[in-house]
Amino acid sequence: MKTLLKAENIVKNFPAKTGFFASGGSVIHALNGVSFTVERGETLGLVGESGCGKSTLAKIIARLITPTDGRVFFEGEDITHLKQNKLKKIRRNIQFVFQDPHASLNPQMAIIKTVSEPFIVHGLRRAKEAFSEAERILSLVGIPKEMVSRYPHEFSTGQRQRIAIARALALNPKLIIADEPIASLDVSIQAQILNLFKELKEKFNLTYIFISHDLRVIEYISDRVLVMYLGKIMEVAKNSDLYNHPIHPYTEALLSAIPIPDPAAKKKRIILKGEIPGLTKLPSGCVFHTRCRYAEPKCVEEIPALTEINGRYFACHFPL
Amino acid sequence: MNEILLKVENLHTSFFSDSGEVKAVRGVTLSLEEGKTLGLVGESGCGKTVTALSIMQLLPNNAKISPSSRILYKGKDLLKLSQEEMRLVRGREIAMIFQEPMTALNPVFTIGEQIREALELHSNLGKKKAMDEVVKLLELVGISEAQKRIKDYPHQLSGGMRQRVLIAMALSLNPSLLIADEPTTALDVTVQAQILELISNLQNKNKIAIILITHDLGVVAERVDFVGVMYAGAIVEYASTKDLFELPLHPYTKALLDAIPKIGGKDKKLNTLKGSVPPLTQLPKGCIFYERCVSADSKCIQAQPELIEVRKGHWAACIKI
Amino acid sequence: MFWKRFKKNKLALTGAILVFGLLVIAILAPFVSPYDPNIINMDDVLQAPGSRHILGTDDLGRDILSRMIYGTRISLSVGFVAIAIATIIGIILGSLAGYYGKLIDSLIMRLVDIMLSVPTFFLLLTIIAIVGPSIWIVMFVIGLTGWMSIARLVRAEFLTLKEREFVLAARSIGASDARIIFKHILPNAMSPVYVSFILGVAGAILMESGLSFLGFGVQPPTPSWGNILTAGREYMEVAWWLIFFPGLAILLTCLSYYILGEGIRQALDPKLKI
Repeated sequence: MKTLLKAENIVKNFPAKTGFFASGGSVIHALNGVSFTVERGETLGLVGESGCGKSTLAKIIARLITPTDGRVFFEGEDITHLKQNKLKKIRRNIQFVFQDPHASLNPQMAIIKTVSEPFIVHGLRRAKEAFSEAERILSLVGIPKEMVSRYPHEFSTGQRQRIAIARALALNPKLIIADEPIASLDVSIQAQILNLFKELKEKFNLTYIFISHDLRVIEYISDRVLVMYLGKIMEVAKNSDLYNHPIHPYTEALLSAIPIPDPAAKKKRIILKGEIPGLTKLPSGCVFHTRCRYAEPKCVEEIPALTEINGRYFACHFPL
Repeated sequence: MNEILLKVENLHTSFFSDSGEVKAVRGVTLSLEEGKTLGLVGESGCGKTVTALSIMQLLPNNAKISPSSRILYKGKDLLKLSQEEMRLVRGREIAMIFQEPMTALNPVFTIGEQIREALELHSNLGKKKAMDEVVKLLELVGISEAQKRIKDYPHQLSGGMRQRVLIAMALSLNPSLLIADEPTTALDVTVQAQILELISNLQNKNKIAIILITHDLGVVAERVDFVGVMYAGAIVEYASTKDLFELPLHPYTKALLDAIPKIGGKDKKLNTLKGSVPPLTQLPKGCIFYERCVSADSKCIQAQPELIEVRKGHWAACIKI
Repeated sequence: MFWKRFKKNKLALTGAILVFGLLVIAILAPFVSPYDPNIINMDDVLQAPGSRHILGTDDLGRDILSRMIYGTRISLSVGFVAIAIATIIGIILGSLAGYYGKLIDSLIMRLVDIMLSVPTFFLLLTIIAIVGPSIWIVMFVIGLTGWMSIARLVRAEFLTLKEREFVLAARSIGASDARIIFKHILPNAMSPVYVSFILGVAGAILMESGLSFLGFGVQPPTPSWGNILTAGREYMEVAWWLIFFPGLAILLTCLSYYILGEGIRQALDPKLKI
């Protein structure tokens, strides 16, 4: 396998707006040194709770926002600070599927126009050809030909997400980043879309970065899983390893919090204490120590580095 | 056997708009014993929230409850009460918490003031006494440093904290029934676990009956005694939680269960339901689930299936069983 | 959907019909007016409304109805052209300010503030006093001084729309700024602009009438509602119809534009129950 994408020590700070006369100068630490790689052909699952920085990370990789520090390499090329023209080439290869298909489709554009737009923007096809190509891709994701000149509001949420996926597929990208693509869908529709992602991956040899807060979904779709908390990587592992034997206490707690649709499965639940701390004032040492049931004085003082043992990465002083 | 606290009989609720009548709830019948938890589960638009709002009579103006419906609470028909009488039922007898804790709190008042207001509306505690009560309530729902927190505004709290505040508010008047409408949907998994645990503990302590509305079958399996599965405005299956998960009868329930990815089930392809929920403006003559059902045949389009007791205490609305 | 909601509003529908009627009259002026508006007929001076001259004649014996029909042309075209100019400027500057933000936004919005602090009508009078009155000057000056509210509206729409995900989605496929502004954001920002356009036409008609009334606008003998009024003022006491009908025309026209604009606003606002 070859590395498709590599992120090195990504840091992202946002200025915090506090109160009416904002000039406090406090900073939101959204990402605090995140490094990882994505191999060609794999699905990397990104999981974590709100405020863990997973969406910010996704947008940085897709070059929709620029990091404060750190670098992103795509096929060996540093794309962190590319300018407009060169960036356009990268955009062909990295595509994005957003969470809410109500928001991510232009309400004033017929869907055929939305899906054929990538061809036109990149000057790849003439309007007529682009339309027939878009039609083909739409039928691939399950939108029949008769519906292509309709507008987004005439479709159900699940269908809209299919349309958004079709747009991402149009340019035949190498990497698709999906940011909570099924979070706004109903359970029965979620399964349809998840299966669609799987099918398309096989058909087109795609590589995915799949973001979700739902560990069940992440397990179903990914090959490797990256667990984030407060802008840091807690643990990276192969899917089966992570679910069978979590090394980081945070992963353990996350796994035990999943409600299981089986009343017979009585299991011990780890209820984390406290709330997720704010991002303006991160806890010292290990960011998880405020809620960790195994925390010791060392965890408050010293930041645990991301360590590798037998191909598994974790950031914890006292791994399980 | 406990006493029946709430009994909803043949509830029909419709919305009237430009595009005609939307039959959001179509003949829901359910009952709930004191201190028990009933789960209402289904996808968006299945009528679970409208059922709750009908019980509370907090429906928007363009909604109408059919006159043949009955909502019996402690033997009294809530639909026959005057507005003023109903106001006294809300909060004191039946309280409700909502999905989005931010929008359910008023941003310009401190949380202390908001809970106190709820208290003062229904009881004649003095201001000082009421504030002490507020602090006690906040401690009860697990908010640390409650004395300090009462001066916070909603935006200063996290989502989980806000939901705790709403629970404190709902419990302030010792209701016998709590309706929780997707109380943890907007929260993170670890916080969801905390809040569900809190609700269970409070239920055991105060002997409250709960209607828990959710789309998450996992939450249902863990927290609920009885389940009503709703689809397109009607209950399609009703059973004890144990029975439902052991032997789901209705094809929709089965499909829902098969559509959730399970830990350890990676290599199995998820079963999907084809299509989506039909519009509630024009209803077919037969079973409304017909078009998406795997086991449907020509008999299914002839008449709407009735909810019948298939096994003891296990009801389903499908002619194929 | 829009049309369905709009139809329900009977008042707005009336406004639309009146506005449409005026447009038809303006276009067909040579065919519908009974006389040549500029033919002087000293035998028919100051005739009261009657069977030969439905709305009477003025001090030179010209048919008031015919002059007013031709005046419709002037008033409407001044209104439309002026506001079209204002709308184009407003959309361009508002889009730039809203989309790019920061320095560009500050510069454009300060320009708006400056323009708003200048009393438009007196500016108009000054400019016309310098360059001389002409219908074209009036159109341009009204246009150049009327774009600020539209720019503000468009900017406000852009500020919220540019944060929407479909804009991010367009960027992620590599769309250029110009494409994002004109293909993605602008079509979604237009509904308040339509309303503002219609209301602006009424304002421009009113302003043109005012200018012409003061003698700074459309010059006689070309008829405009404003200068028909001026001419009639001297004979007000003996010939009421000289000022009554042009005044009524201005009032009704502006009123119908306003109710039409309000109707469109209500029909476009999904939160409003009709």
